[in-house]
Amino acid sequence: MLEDNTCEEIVSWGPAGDCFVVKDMTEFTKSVLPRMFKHSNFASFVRQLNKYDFHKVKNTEDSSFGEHSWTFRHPDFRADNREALENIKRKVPTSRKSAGSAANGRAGSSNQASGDPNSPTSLPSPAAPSASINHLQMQIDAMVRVNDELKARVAELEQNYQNVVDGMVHFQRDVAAQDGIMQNLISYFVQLEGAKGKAAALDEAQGSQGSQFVQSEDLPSAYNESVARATFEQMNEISRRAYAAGMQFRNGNGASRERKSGGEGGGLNAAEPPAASTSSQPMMGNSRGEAPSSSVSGGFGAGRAPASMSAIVAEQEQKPEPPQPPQPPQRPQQQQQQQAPMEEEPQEIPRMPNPGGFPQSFLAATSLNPGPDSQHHAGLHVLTLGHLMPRDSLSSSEGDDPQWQFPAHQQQQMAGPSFAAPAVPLHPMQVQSLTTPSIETSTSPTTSPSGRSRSIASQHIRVRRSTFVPGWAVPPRVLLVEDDVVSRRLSSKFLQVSGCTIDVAVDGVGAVNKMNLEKYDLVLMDIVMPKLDGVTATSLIRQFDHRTPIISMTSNSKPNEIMTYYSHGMNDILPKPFTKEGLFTILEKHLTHLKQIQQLSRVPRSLSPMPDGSMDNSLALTVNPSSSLAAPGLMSEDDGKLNPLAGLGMSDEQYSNILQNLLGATGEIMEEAIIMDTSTEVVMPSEINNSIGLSNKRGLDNVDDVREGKRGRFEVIE
Amino acid sequence: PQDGEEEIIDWETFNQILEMDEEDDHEFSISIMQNYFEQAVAKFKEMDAALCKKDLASLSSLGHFLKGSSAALGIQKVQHSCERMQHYGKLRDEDAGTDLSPADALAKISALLAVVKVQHYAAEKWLKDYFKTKFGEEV
Repeated sequence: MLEDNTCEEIVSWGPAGDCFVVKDMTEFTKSVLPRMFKHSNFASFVRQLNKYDFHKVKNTEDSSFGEHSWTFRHPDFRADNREALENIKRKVPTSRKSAGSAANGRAGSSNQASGDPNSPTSLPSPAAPSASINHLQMQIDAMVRVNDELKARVAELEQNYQNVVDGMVHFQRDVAAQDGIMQNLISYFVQLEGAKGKAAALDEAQGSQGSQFVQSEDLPSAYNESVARATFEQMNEISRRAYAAGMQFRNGNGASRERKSGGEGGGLNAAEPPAASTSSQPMMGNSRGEAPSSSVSGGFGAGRAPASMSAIVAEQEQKPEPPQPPQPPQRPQQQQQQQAPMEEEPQEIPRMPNPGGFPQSFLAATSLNPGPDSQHHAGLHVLTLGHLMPRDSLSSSEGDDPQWQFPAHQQQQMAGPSFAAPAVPLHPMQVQSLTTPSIETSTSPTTSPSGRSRSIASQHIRVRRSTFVPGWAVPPRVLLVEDDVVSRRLSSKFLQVSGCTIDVAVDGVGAVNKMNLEKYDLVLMDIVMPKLDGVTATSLIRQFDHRTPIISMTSNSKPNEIMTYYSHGMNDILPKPFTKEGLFTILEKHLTHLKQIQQLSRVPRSLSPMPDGSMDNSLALTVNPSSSLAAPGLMSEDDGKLNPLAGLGMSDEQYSNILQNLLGATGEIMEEAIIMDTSTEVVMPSEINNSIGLSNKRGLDNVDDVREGKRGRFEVIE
Repeated sequence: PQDGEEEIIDWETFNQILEMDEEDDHEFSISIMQNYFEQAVAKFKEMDAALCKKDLASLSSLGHFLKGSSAALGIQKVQHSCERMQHYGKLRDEDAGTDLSPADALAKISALLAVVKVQHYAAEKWLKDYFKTKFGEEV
C-alpha cells in the first residue's frame, strides 16, 4: 500500500524510511483503509498498529506532513528492509500472515517516498517488530535456560537424596555389625566371668585348665572349647545314664561321637574310673565302621554328620584313651571342625562349636552360645544337658569314659535348681529331635536332668518325631481353663510335654477362684464355658491381677471378637483347634522371662544390673545361634554388608527385620524373633509381625511386670 | 480325599496326638478317643432332647461344644457338621449365606443331627479299625 504512489498524498514513508506517515487521517480512512483492510476505522487501524508494536511518533520537527498526520514507527518497519517485516509480530502471537499483511499494508502505505520496489508480500520487516520479536526470542531463551537449570537442580537433588538413602543403608548395616560386635563382647565377658567362676568352683585341675583355656585362647576358640566341653560333659553324663538304664547303643554316630567327645573332652579330668570301657570299645569299633554310613537318626540335619564324625573319629583314633589329651591340638581340630561345618552348611551352623559337628543342629550355635554360660553356670549345664538328650540317647550307652564320669560329678556340683535359660533358645533348633521328657522332670528341677535323661533314654526312638520342647529355667505354671474334657486332656498333655506344670479349671468361676488363690505364669482361657465365660472371667481376674498373661483359646476368630478379648484384658489369641507349634509359640512368647531371668540372675554382677530390655536383648542376642558368635572368622568379614546371621541362610532383610524388632519391640518379642529366627527356615518376618501385632497391646506391660515378679521369685529359689 | 470329600480324619491334627503317645503305648491317644466317643454320645442325647424342645440356643451351643472336641482330635467331618449346627441354631445358614427362620433351622438341624451321628459312628469305627490294624490296640 505504501508503495502505491497513488496514495502518496495520504500515506507514505517517513523521511527516514523508518516509519510511515498517514498524512491525512480522514482521507486514509476513506480510501486506503477500505482497500487494504476490511474495516474503515482509523482507530482500529491504529489499534492494529499498536498490536504489532508500532508506536505513534510525535514528529515535532517534521511538520511538513500537516497537522492531522500520524506517524507510526516500528523497529522492523523499514522502507529498505523488507525482510525485517517478517519480524513484526503481534505482541500476542498471531499468524504471521496477518502480521505480514498488516505490516505489508503499512509498509505499502509508507513506501512511496523511497520508491523501493517492495511487493506487499516481501516488504522488509520493520525494525520495531523484529525488535519485539527479538525480545520475545530472548525471553524464550531465558525461559529455556531457566528450565534447564531447574532440571539440573532437580537432578542434583535426586542425587543427594539417593546419597542420603545409601548413607542410611550403610549406617543401618554398620549398626547391625555393631550389634554383632556387642554380642561378641558380651558373650566374651560372660564367658570370662564364667570361666573365672568355674575355675573357682572346680577344685580339680579342670579349673586350671578352664582358666587356662580362657586365658590362653582367643575368644572364638575359648568359646568353642568351653562350649564343647560343657556339651560333652553333659552328653557323657546322659549317655552314661542311658547306658546305665540299659539302653542299647544303636547309633554308630553316637559311638563315634562318644569317642570323639571322650577325646575332645580331654580337658576334663576323669575323676572316676571308666565304666565299661571295654564295652565301649566294640561299640566304637562299630561306630567307626558305621559312622560313615550311619544314618543320623532322629532326624539329624545332614549326612554331613557322619562324614564329619568319621573324620573326627579318624582324628581321634590316635587318642584311644580319653584322659587328657593335649588340649592345644584339640582346639585347632575343634576350630577346624567348627569352621568347616560353619562354612559348609549355613543351615547347620549351630553345630559349630561342637567338634565334629556333634550335636549339629542341636548344639547349634544357639545352644552353644548359651554354652559359655551353661558351662560356667551351674544350672545352665543341666538344661543343656536336657536338650542334648535326644541325640545323646541315640548314641546312648557308652558314658564309660573317665571324662564322662567327671562331668556327672561336675554336673552335680554345678547342677542348680534351675534349668539354664540359655538352652531355651535351643529348642527351635531341636525341632527335629528332642524327645519329650516325662512329666515328672518338669516338676523337680534338680532331678529332672537325670529324670529326663532316663525317660528320654527310654524314649529314644521318639526322637524321630518332631517333638519340640522348650527349656525352662523353672517349669511354667499354667492354668488351663476349659470345659471340654477332651480338649482339656489334650491341652494338658501338650503343656506337660512342653515342660509346664498344669492346673485346671472347668469354667470361668473356677478360673477366677484359682487365680485368686495362686499365681500362675500363664492362663489359657477357653471362651465358651458354662457358668461364666472366658471373657467375663478375664475381666474379673484383671481386677486383681494384671500381670499374668491370659490367652484366649477359641474357635471364633472374628476381628470384633478378638477386640473384645483384648479389651477385656486378654493378652493373646490361640485359635482352636490349636497345634503344638501354636501352643509353643504362645508359651515362648509369654514366658520368655522364665528363660531370660534365669540367665540374668546367673550373669555376673557386672553384667546383670542392666535395664531389662537391653540386657535381655543382648543376652538373647548372645544366645543367637548364628555364626556371629560361633564363627568369629565370619564376623570379621562382616563389613556391614553381610548380616551376622547370614550363615543361617537368613537374608539381610530378615536380619534387619530382627534388628528392627529388637530395637522396637518388647524384649520378649525380640527374643521370639531370635528364637524363631534360629529355627530352620521360619518365615520370620511375618511371624514377628504377627507376634508384635498380637501382643503389643499389653505385651510390654505384662512382660515387664511379670518379669519383675518372676525375678523376685527366682532370687528366692536360688 | 475319598470320593472327593474330605477324609474322616485330619491327619495333621491327629498325628499331633499320636505323637504324644509313648512308643508302643498308645494309652494316651486311646483314652482320649474313648473320652471323646463317650462325650459325643452324651451330646447327641442332649441334642435329641433339645431338638424335641425346639431349643435352638442349646442346639447351637451343643454344636459348638462338639465341634471343639472333634476338631481337637481331627475328626473333621463331625467337626464341620457341628459347626453347621452351631450356625443353624443361631438361625444362620452359613453355607448359603442366608438367615433362617426357626422352623427352617429346626428342620435343618434335625436332618443334620442324623447325619452327624452317622458321621460320628463312621469315624469311631474307622478309628477303632485303625488302631487295631496299626497298633494292635483295642480302643
